[in-house]
This record gives sequence, C-alpha cells and structure tokens, in this order.
Amino acid sequence: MIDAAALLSRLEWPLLAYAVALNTFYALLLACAIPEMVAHLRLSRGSRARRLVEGEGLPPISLLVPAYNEEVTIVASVQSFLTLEYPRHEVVLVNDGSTDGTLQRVMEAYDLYEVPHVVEATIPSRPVRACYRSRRFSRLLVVDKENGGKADSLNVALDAARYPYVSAVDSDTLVEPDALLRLARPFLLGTPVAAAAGTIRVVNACRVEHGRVVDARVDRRLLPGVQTVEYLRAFLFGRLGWNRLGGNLIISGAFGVFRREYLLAIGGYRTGSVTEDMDLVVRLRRYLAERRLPDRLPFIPDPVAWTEVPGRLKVLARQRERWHRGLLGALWSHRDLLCNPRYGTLGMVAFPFYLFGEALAPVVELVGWLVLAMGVLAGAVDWSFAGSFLLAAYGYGLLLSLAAIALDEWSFSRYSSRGDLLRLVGYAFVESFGYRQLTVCFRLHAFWRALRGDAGWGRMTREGFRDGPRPAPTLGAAAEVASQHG
Amino acid sequence: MSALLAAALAQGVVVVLMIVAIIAHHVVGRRGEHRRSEREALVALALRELLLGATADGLVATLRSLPRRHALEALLDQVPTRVPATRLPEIAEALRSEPWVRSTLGGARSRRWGRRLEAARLLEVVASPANEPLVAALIDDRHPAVRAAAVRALAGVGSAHLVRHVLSRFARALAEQPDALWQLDTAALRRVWQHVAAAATSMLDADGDPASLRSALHALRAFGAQGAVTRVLELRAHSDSAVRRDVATLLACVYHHEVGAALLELAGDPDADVRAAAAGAMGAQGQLGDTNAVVGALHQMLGDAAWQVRVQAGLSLARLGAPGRAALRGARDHHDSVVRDAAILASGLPDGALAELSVAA
Repeated sequence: MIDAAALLSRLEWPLLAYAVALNTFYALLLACAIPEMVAHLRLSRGSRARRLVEGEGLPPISLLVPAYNEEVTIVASVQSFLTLEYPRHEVVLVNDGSTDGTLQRVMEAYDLYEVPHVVEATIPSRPVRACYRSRRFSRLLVVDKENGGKADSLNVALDAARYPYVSAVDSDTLVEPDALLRLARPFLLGTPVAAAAGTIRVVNACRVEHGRVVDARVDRRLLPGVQTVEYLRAFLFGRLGWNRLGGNLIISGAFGVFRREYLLAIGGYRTGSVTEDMDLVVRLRRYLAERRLPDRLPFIPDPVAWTEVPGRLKVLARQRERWHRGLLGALWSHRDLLCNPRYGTLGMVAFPFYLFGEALAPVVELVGWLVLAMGVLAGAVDWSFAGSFLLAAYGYGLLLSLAAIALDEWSFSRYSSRGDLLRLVGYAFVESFGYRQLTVCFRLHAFWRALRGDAGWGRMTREGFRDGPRPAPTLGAAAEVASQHG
Repeated sequence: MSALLAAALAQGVVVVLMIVAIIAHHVVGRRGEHRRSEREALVALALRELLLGATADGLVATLRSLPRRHALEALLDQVPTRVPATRLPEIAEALRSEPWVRSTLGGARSRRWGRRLEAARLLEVVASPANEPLVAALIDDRHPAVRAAAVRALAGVGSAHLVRHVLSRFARALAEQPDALWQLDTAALRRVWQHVAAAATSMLDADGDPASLRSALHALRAFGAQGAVTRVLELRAHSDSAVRRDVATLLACVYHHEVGAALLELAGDPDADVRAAAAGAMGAQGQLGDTNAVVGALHQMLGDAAWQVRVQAGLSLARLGAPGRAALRGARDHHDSVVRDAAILASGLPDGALAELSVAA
C-alpha cells in the first residue's frame, strides 16, 4: 500500500507537468495569435475589401457543394452561394444520388437543361449520371451522380470545376456574403498560398433572414452556448496562432479555399475517412513538404461561415466521438510524420502536438483523474494539493477561453448585446469546469470504437432555425474544435 | 503545493481582470463606434460640399480636426471612390502641407510594416512627382500589402520608369500567382495606362525572359495592344508555350490583317492550352478574313483530344454567326460522339451563358 501511495504521489508531477506544458503551448498559440489578428485587421480595415471587388482583382473560385437529400433547403442554399459578393465564382452542385426531390427542386428553380459531360475524370469516383446548366445562372453547374458519400461528391466537383481555386462548402452552411472576398485576401498578397481557411461560428440562436445571419446571438441553452465559446477558442486563437508557427493542419471542410491543381495532384479527397478534410490537409502539407514548395496554408479570421451545433447531449456525444475517431485515424494514417525532420514544422511540432496534446489528451486526463482520486483515497495526496492541482490545471484553460472571448470582442465585436457577452463569459466557466470533462468521456469512447475498427458516421440530428437553410456541423469545424480540446 | 496555490490565485486575479476588461471594452467600444460614425459623417459632408464646387480647404480642415488614424481612414475610404480624378490633384496639393499627412508619410521608412502601409495608402491620394523615390522604395517593400498599395500611388507620380519597374516585378510574380496578383495590380495601373502600354511594348523582345514577355502581353491585353500588333505576332512561334498561349489570348482583342492566319497557325499548336486559347480568340474576333477556313478549323477542333479545346471550339462556333451555327448543327449529328457532345454543349447554351463561358472556360 505504501509503495502504491508512493507511486501515485510520483505520478502526480508528470501529470501536472503535462497539463502545464499543454496549456503553455496554448498560451504560446495565443501569444502568436494576437499579432496575427492585428495584421489581419490592418489589412481588412475600411472599405478596401469592397473596392477590390470593383477592381476585379480577385482569383476566380469554384464553390464545390455536395448535397444529399437536401430538398427542403437546397434551393435557398444555392441561391445564397450564387449571390455571394464575389466577382468571378461558379457553383458546382453535386447531387450525391439523393433519394428525395433534391435534384428536381433545383431543376425547377434554376431552369436546368442537360449538357454533355465533357470534363475528364482525373479522380476515380462513382459514375456521373448527367450534367446540367442553368438558363438563369450560367455560373451554376449541377452534376447528378450515383451515391458515393461526401468525399466522392467533392472529387467529382473538383474535376468539374473550371477555376484555379476551389472552395468546398456544405450545402447547409451559411457563408457570409463577403466571406469569399475576405478569404481571397492572402492570394492577392503575392505570397504562394496553397489554401486558406476561414472561421466557423455557431448559428443556433442567431436571427437568420433569407439565408443570411442578420443578428449574431449567443444561445441561452447550455450546450450550444458552451460550444460557442469552444468554437471561438478553437478558431480565433488556435488557428491564428498556428499561422505564425506554420503548422496549420486543419482547414474546415465547411469553409476553406484551395488551389485546385494541388488537390488534383494529391488525388482529391479520400473516401471512407470520417474526417476527410483533416486528411486532405495533412496530405496536402506532405505533398508541399516533399516537393519543398513554399506555399502556405494561412487561417484568415474575418471571413465567416455559420454552422449549427448539437443542442442535445446524445447528438453531441456521437459527434465528438466521431470527430476524435477521425483525428485518431488521420494521425495513424500519417504516423511516419511523427518527429520526422524531413517535414519541418509539420513533423516536428504540429504532428507531435496533435498526437500528444490532442489525440492522447483524454487518456492522460482520465489517468490524471484516477491517480488524483486514488491518491486522495490512499492518503498519498492531500485534499488541498488535489484542489490546487485542479484549480491550476483547469483555471488555465478558463483563462485561455476568456482570452478567446476578449480577442473576439476586441477584433470583431460580433455580439452586440451585453447580455450575450456576459453569457459567453459564464459559458467559459462551464466549458472549463464540467463540459470539458464531459467531452473527455465522448472522446474516450472514440478509442474504443477505433480499436474495434468502426468506420460509421452515426446519425446527426439537426434542429434548423427560423428562416433559411439549416446548417450542419461539419467535419472541418469538428476537427478544429477537437484540435483545441487538450 | 504553495506554488500551485499561488498559481491558482494568480489565475483567479487575471480571470477577474479579463472579465472586467471585456465588459469595459464592450461599453467603450459602443461609444467609440458612435463617435466614429459622427466623424465619418463630417467628412462626408465636407466631401459633398467639395463635389458641389467648394475648394478643398473645407475637407482639409475637417480632416485636420480628426485624430490622425481616423482622418487617414476617412480620407482613403471616401475620397478615391467619390471624387473625380480631375479634382484629386487639388486635394493632394492642399493636403501635402498638413502635419498629419507629413507625419504619416514619414512612416514610409518605418521598421513597422503597418506604418509603411499607411504611408503607401496615403500616397494613393497625395503622391506627386516629387514622391518618386518614396514610391520606388515602397514598390519594392518586403511586405506584399505595402507593395500592392504603393502601385496605386503611381498615378500621382506619373513615372514611366517606375511603371516599367512594376511590370518587371509582375513578371516574377506571374510565375507563381498568374491571375490574382496580376489582376489586382492591373486595376491599380489603370490610371497610368498610357505609360503601361508604352513600357509593355518596349518589353516585347523575343529573346527576352518568358516571364517578362508574359507580363508585357498581359499588360497589353489589359491596356490596348493595337500599337504593338506586329511585335505581338512575331511571338507566335516563341519556344515557351505559356507565351504562345498569351499571344493567342491577346489576338482575340486586336485587329490586323494577319491575325486570322496567326490564329489558324496557333490552332495547330502542340500545346492544348494554346489551341484552346486560339479557338477562343477565333470566336471573340468574329469575322476574320477567311471565315470558311476558321469555321473548318474550329469544326476540326471539336474532336480535339483535350476537353478545353473542344469546349472553346464549340463556344467559338456558336459566336461566329450563321456559318458557325450551321457547322454546329452539322456536328450534332457527327459520327464521333466526342464531336457530337461538344456541339450539343455549345449549341444548347443561351446567349448569356455562351458569352460568360467563352470568357471563363
């Protein structure tokens, strides 16, 4: 018993060191995010972005929109994509063998007519049944194909796109009208850019009119509210911080722009993965590193797409389990990157961080709880130490969440109501003390399912909102949030 | 143990301070927004008076009453878009002696890129030939945003030498970012187009660097190539396929008796992108010398191995009037399904789609 107590006592310090190291790394990300944010605000200040549109100085972009059984929302979604403020963009909608009236609705609304499929299929995918163009909007191309999943649809869209840059967006994501405009900014600065990522925000309680968010609000319900803080933390300082360190591993599948030639070169999206967006970015970064290409993958904080997050615990559990399983799968597939100096920051910083700081974090946290509990019970750890330990470890996380809220308030002030801001602060406490521990359980479940070899997505239930298309949680956003869950 | 407790307490203090700071910023920020709107309205009012015939003094005085950063933002947001180019020199002249303008321009040599960016942006409005060295330095700045902003200042400086320098720089950038950067800078160069055309023509040396040639061809396409047609035509046999493609694209918008023959020659190029550009140019030109030869070449290109050539050939036939439409109708029944598909695609398009696709495809 004495030996066990001594062992428990010895285990405390490595666990504390892990917590301190991880949170210190997050603090480093925050420290890097602040100057990045200042630089982005300086570049996007005033009406300059709007003047760029008038100057037609932006690269043409193809929006890739996979759709499966979206008959209720598809017409409004396509409308919102077609009316984005951008001088040259097309919408490539891929109907992934929907069994409802998705295609029929689009055909009627946009006066489609069939055209021959003259595009080369460079990426193997399920057969294309037909291609359609619109008599009303010549920049709309609709591809009808056999069901093959989201990645398969994106590959078909990638082939059919005619512009050098592509942006994969979910058909139920709300993209802000000027988001593409802002997202294209790094391409205008003359530095080589392989891809650019935008911010995903939580739409649940927002007021939406005609497919646009007109009033950003924070949900009064606990789960969506806490996830609002979580998303702020994940995107506003996590991604931004990685910009400066050069280790961005995730570009949201819901909203990001890629150079098409690179995506074709790496064989497009990988089918069968539950986080195809993370897998894509890791492969893209490998490709760039192996060829010593200087292209960057910056995160831009001001372009925003809105997505709905789970409002029910059961749905959240399924979602988080799947995200973590996807993260584990992606890390396992690319395990040769770990501490591999050939891949520079990717191999030496980003990959180890995602492995030890993200993927294995739930296990370490569980061990920490067990050791602490057993230590207290065995008398090897006194109560006051345990309390201080927990306060120090989780208080640090709270500090970082508040820093994310502060960064959002200082940079964008999206939430105009004081009540919303106070609610966010309150949710930051809940996020650190309660919610975070809850998600550890969900993520531990992912280990179990990954070991069993489960590859299913699980069912995702959405609530929708008062007006316009219903946004869905996306894998990109997923991995972003998962990546900040230390 | 005591260290842990101290850390937890320190965190608690920082948490409280941060919450206070967030709320305070929210309150102050709302008030600041209100003040900023009022100031913008003042500038807008002064600008309206100027547009109605008043001198620039009122605008300058209003800007002087604002904090430097707000004056700069208000000036850059409102003046370039609302004031006609003929009145810009008057405003520039009035502003040059202002202390806040001199202070901002002083930032052009700053080590902080934000200050240099402000100076470059301000020069868009206040630059004069005397600022040539300053603009030259900013055009070669290490920060891309500063470089891009400095290009906009060329109109005030009016230096042919600097324009040529910018075009040479584009040549390097074109290799990496062909569309985006070029188009942005093209928009910026529009106000000095006469210098650009002259500089680009002087860069059309067949033995020159392909990137410089492409940069010049892009410039001529944007600002008028009629004066350089013969030199452009000479480049149609250039060894670099990207140059030949740019020549074919440029030939879509110039008029010369040799253009038809040159495009037919480029239609047989080994590079698919060159052939596609030639096919597109034939359609854009409309009536070229020998219509039958052009229609025949495009009809043949409907069966090209490369899809982009087939699409462009179909679109061009659709734009060639009666002979082209007749050829397309015939091709719809062609025994080769590839030709048939391309003809069906092009002939089924409405006019608006045809116009848009033929530019973008």
